[in-house]
Amino acid sequence: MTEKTTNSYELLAIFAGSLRESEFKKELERLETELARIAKILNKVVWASRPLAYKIDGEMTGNYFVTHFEAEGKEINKLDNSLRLDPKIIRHLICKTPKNYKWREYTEEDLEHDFTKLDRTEAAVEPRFVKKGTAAAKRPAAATTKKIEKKIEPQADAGEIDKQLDDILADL
Amino acid sequence: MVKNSSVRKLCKFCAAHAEFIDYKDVRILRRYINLDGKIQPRKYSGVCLKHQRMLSNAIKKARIAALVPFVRDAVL
Repeated sequence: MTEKTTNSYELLAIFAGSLRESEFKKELERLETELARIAKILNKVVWASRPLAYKIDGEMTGNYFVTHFEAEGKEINKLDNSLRLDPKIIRHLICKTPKNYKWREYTEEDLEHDFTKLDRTEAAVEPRFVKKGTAAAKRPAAATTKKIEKKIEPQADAGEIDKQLDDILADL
Repeated sequence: MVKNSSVRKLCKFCAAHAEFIDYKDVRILRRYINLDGKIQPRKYSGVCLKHQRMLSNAIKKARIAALVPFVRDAVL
């Protein structure tokens, strides 16, 4: 019964965008040390000054800190409370990761929330979802866009058209 | 009289053997959100029930994380 059962979790914390760089680094170090005390950090990433999809506490930008860690379940409640009371953190989200979770770093394009920039021609499902060794993985990526080739008919000369018209009229 | 043949759409996540949908992958999520910020019904997207549940959970998490807007024109 003394065995500790750990689960893997993911934490996303948004620091206010109005914080100075030095202040943000200081706050980040403090959070990391607090987290390292109760958990084993596996991966982490910082997205500095990203635009938010909507206003939070009057802030239009935020400094994101995302980390993947292993910890005991009872420690998560304490961490959640401490994050909620932190005035420098405007929003946070802790969630349990699925069984076959693989850490991946996202690019700016992946995180773009502006719908007007959506390219509907690209494949709906990325190849990273595909299990290795399956038939879908072996299949080459399907062409997303088909080029529409217009058939251009050769234009007849104006003189020929006049002649044809004259012939038709003469028959009448 | 010709009967209307209903063509069943295929779930793209099933075709790709997707095991989970990450809430941070906005590139995938925004495909299933309309311009009002609402989750697209699976009737139109063709996503199966299992993946629709995963997708809606991921979209709801992404909304909390301010990665995706709750409603249209949230940013002025």
